[in-house]
Order: sequence, then C-alpha cells, then structure tokens
Amino acid sequence: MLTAVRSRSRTALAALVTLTALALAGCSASPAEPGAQSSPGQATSPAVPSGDAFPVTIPSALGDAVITKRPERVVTWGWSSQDAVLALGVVPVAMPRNTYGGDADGVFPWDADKIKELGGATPVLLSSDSGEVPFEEIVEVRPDVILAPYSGITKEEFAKLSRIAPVVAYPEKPWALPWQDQVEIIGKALGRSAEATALKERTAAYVASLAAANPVLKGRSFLYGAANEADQLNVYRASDPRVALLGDLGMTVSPSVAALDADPKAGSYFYNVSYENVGKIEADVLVMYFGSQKEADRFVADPVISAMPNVRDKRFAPIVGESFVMASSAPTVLSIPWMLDRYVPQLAAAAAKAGA
Amino acid sequence: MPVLSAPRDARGPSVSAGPASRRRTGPLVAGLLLLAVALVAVCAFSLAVGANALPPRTVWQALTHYDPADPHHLVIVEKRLPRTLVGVVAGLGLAVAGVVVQGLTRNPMADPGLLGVSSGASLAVVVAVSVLGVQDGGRIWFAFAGAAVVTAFVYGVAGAGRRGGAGPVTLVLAGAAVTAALTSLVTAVLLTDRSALDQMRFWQVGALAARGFPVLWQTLPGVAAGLVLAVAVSRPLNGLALGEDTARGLGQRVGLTRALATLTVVLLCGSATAAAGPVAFAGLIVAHISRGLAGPDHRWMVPYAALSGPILLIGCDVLGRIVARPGELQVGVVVAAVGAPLLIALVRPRGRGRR
Repeated sequence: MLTAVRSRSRTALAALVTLTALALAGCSASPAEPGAQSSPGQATSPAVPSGDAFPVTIPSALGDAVITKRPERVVTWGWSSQDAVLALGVVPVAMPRNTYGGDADGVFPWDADKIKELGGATPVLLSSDSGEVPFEEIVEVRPDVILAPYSGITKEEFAKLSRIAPVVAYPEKPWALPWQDQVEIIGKALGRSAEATALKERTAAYVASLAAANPVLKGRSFLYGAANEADQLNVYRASDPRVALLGDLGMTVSPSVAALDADPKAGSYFYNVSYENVGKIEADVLVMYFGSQKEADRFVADPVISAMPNVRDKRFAPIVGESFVMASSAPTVLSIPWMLDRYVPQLAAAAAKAGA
Repeated sequence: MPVLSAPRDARGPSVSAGPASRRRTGPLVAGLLLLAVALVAVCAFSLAVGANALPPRTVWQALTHYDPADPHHLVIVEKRLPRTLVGVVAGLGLAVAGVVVQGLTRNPMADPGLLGVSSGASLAVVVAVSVLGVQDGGRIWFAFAGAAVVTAFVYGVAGAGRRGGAGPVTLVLAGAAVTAALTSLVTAVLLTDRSALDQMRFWQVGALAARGFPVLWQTLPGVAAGLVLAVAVSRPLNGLALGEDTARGLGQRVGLTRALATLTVVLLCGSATAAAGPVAFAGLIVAHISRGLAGPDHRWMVPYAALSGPILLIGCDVLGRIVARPGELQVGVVVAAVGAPLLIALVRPRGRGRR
C-alpha cells in the first residue's frame, strides 16, 4: 500500500513521511495517508494543498483518538492548543478562557488577531479557572474532536471526554509538549498535516534567522526561572518548551543550574531552589517572568536577589506582563512571531553584558 | 456555665497575695531562666540551619563581621535573622494572647483566634488581595485592621445590654459565630478568585519565611504594646478567674479588665497573625504548657508563655526546614502536626494531678 502511494505526488509524500514519523505506530495510522485523488468527495484542486484522508487515529499516553471524518467543530483544552488550530485556519467552537494573559474576554491577543483575520466568531470560552474540565460546557458545543495535547487531563477525564468526541491527549507526559509536536499533532487531527509541517518549518526558520541575526546569544548560558513561591526560585527544566526555545535561539542551560536540581528525574517541568542557594547560580543571563512590573520590582528588591551578579550587572531579562509571559511560557506557531521581536532584543542586551 | 468556668476555681490563685503566692518563687524563676536558655538555643539553631548548609563559623562571622558583599552573610543576615526574629515576636504574641484569652473567657480551650482575630485578619487580607490588589507590604495593615474591627464587633455583640461588658460565655459564642461566618466568606472569595488564592496560600498556612525586616518592624510595636498590657492585666485576670462576683466583691472593675484584656489580645494576636499568618493554634498549646509549668497565676503564666511561644514557633520552623529538604514545610503545617499530639499529651493526665 505504501508503494502505491509513493508515486502519487510530492505533497502527498512529504505529508506521509511526517505522518508516519509522528504516528509512531506507523502503519496503523497510514490508511489515513493523503491519497487525495483516490478518496471521492475531497477537494482535488492542485492549487490548494489537499487535506488528509479520514479516519485518522492519533495515539496518546491516555489512549487513541479515532477521528472518522474531517472535524469541523473543534474544541481545545489545556494550554495554547487553540494557537495551532487557528494558525491552521480553523476557528475552534470552544477554547479555554485565559484570565491570565488574555483580554477582557479571556482571549490571548495573538489568538484574537488571528480570529479577526479569519473572520470567525469568538469561540465559546470554557471555564478554566478551577482547572477542572467543564464537561457540560463542552457537551453544549457538540464538538467533532477535543484537542488537549498540552494539558494535564487525567485518565478518568479522558474517558469521560471520549464519550463526547474523540480526545487527543498528550503523547507522553502531561504539560510537556514542544510546539513543533503540538502543531504536527493538531495538523493531523484536523486533516491538515502538510500545512502543519510547512507552518512548523516556517516558524523554525524564523527562530533560526533571529538566532543568526543575534550571534551574541550563541553559547550564552541561562537560567529560566520564576518567583511564584516565597523565598524560592522556580527553575524550569530543559525539557520545558520555553527553555527549549532559548536553546533554539542558540543559548544553553547553565550547568550550575542543573547541578542544583535535587531530583532531575521528577515528573514536574520545574523545580525549586531556595534563595539561600542562589549564590551558587552561575549563568550569563537570568531569564525570569513576572505578571506585572510590581512583581518584578518586588523580586529585585529582595536583598539576596539584588546581590546576585546577574541582577547587579543587569544580565537579567525579565519577561514582564501577563500576555508576554504566556507567549513565552507556552510558545506556539502563533505566539512565537507575536513575542520574539520584543523578546530577542531584550535577551541580546542582557547577553551582551556577559562580556566577550 | 459549668463547662466554661475553668475547673480551677476551687484552687484559684490568690488575688491579694504578694509575689510569693502559693508556689515558691525560686523554682519559677529558675524555670524562666531555663526557658530563656532554651530560647537562645532554638534561635541559634534557626540561624544555623537552612537549605544551604553553611558552617557555624560562617554564621558567627556573618553576625559579628557582616560583609554585605558575601552571599553567605547575606543569606544569614537578610534571610535567617529576620525569620528568627519574626518567629520570636509572633510566637510571643500568639502565646501571651493565648494566656490572656483563656483568662478572659475562663475557658481552657480558647485560642487567641476565638474572638475573631484570625478570621477578621484573614478576611481583611483576602479582600485586600482580591478586590484592592494590595501587594504583601500593605497586607499587614489590613490583617491588623481586620483583627481589630472584628474583635471590637464580637465584643460589642457579646456585651450588648449586659452590665460589666461581655461575659465569658457570650464572648465565646459570639466569637465562634462570627468566626464561622467570616471563614465561609473567605472561602467563598478564594474559591472564585484563583489568583487571590495563589497569593493567599502562603500567608494563610502560616509561615515565617520571606517576611524580612520590614515585617518585623511593622509587627514589633503592636506586640510590645500588647505585652505591656498583658503584664498589666495579669493580676486582674487572676481575680476574674475566681468568678465575676468575687472579683467585683474584691473591688475589681470587671468591665475594664475585660476591655483591656480584649485589647491586649487584638494587639498581640493581630500583629502576630499579620506577620506569620493565622496560626492561633500555637497560642492554645503554649497557654496550656505555661499553665502546666507556672501554675494558675497569670503573673507567671505571661512570662512563661512569652518564652515558650517563640521556642515552639521557631522550633517548628526549624523542623520544617529539616524534614522536607531541599524544600521546606511551612511553620503552620508543622505547628499543627507537632502541636496536636503535644496538646493531647498535656490534657490527658488531668485526673492524676491538679494543675
């Protein structure tokens, strides 16, 4: 069957390669491969990249999502999945309300821009403040698919949601999904894997171009932290997408930071370092996020923090403001372009102070 | 009110006697000295123990030859020292407030939060954080104001239409009712405002970390004033322990004593709560310990509590730093874990010996 397809078209081949690489299970998902011409009823215009064939099976840590037809009514849950959906040209029927970082309605600015561009109506905003899945609100919008690849849903929630519509959960661990995988998974679920791959490559190229334009970042060590707990520094592990993004910009995680990780194998994406131990941190750049300038001021007002070489010498790149924090914390194909023009100069300025 | 009047009136303390009441003064003074030594030892531990294992020599140097450029010295002087001192002030405030509130209500189960101090402080802080967006520097004043207003309210309700001000039973009942109502309000606000919950979590459990010198300076005047008042009312409280009528018969101004004692509790517990969070339970335990050690005379119970309170609070704080390495447990959690068995042990052997 695979050989039969290979001769069809280059687009199909590219999509197929991505698909098989992604689907892990390989052949089990392959029947969905883009034999556009052979499936009747599909748009076959060569000018528009053809959509994938359905059904599609997307495996996850919690179970498979079998999507029988190209979904029209899409619900997203968890962090930033709506970004990839919108970037692929689909306006979800419902997505989480983001009180932190969103506008008055709870929509991130980059999402609002894209919804406007697509000319869609603002989706139903799901209650997300409690962190519990609002099953009733989701039933109400009659979804074809529920996309939660960057979320923390439990096995029980997965089972319950699966009775409403196929659920795409996280591939391995909760709250851990590189933006590259996110757009690929969502592209597959929406039958738009070719566009997803193109989008991913375009975004990666953009990041790479910024890295090339800012050689000062190359090889600079950093610590990515937050001050969400009293007298504790929350340090993000290398596996977290926000940390990986700095890696893509050419920077490296400070080895001194990794040495402070008491339990590197722990499941969480961050760990705590007491303010008593910040003297042991050696990093060219300290990257921290703060919801407001007030919070940032309070952080540097602490006598132990203000004595840190990073803070003293301004080798410190504070990410200030809720939307900016969300864009950099959960980078996606939509939020990366939104924030990097502001983020990179700030990083470069801090890195430049680290000396030659 | 057979339950609420303390089981000690049969052997109540002498009201008129001089310094050597029933117990001899010598052992009591020796006990105080021992407690003082223990307090110094606990404080030394608190300065020596932390997430960063620093040698005692460095700790000593930081205290004697402070060098702000040395990150280790900074940790000790800017983190461990204020934390320890806030522990002293808050522990003292809660414990002495516990003694006074138990004398005031003649109820050995009263904790300093009973008059609405803790719940009033909590509600004020929640409103400050959630509605007004106050950051932690201003929180302390809201906590204090909330404690004062609510306690005044409780006192007013309890004393309404009663000669001699609020009586012990009505005070307890009014305090419990108001506390229940305010606690549910606090919960309602926190459940609907996640960001406020995040900010409140740390204060509400009760913690000494991240308080710093500013909090110490804000707390100190209230606790100092409260301590002076506590010493002043300790003698009239002895009279109150004999019962209202007896006290009045002895020429005491019962209403004035009660009002002053209430003010004492607000000053002490309000300041301590503002600094360390609602850990009034510590006050209940220490009041019992002090009564066990010093006997029923408030003039001795107050200094005993003033020394034992900080020992308990700082001791629990140090324990919380050791057991949960490399993180730490907040002091409110440790006080609850250590205090509950301690209290049971204290209360249990009642039948064998009189206190």
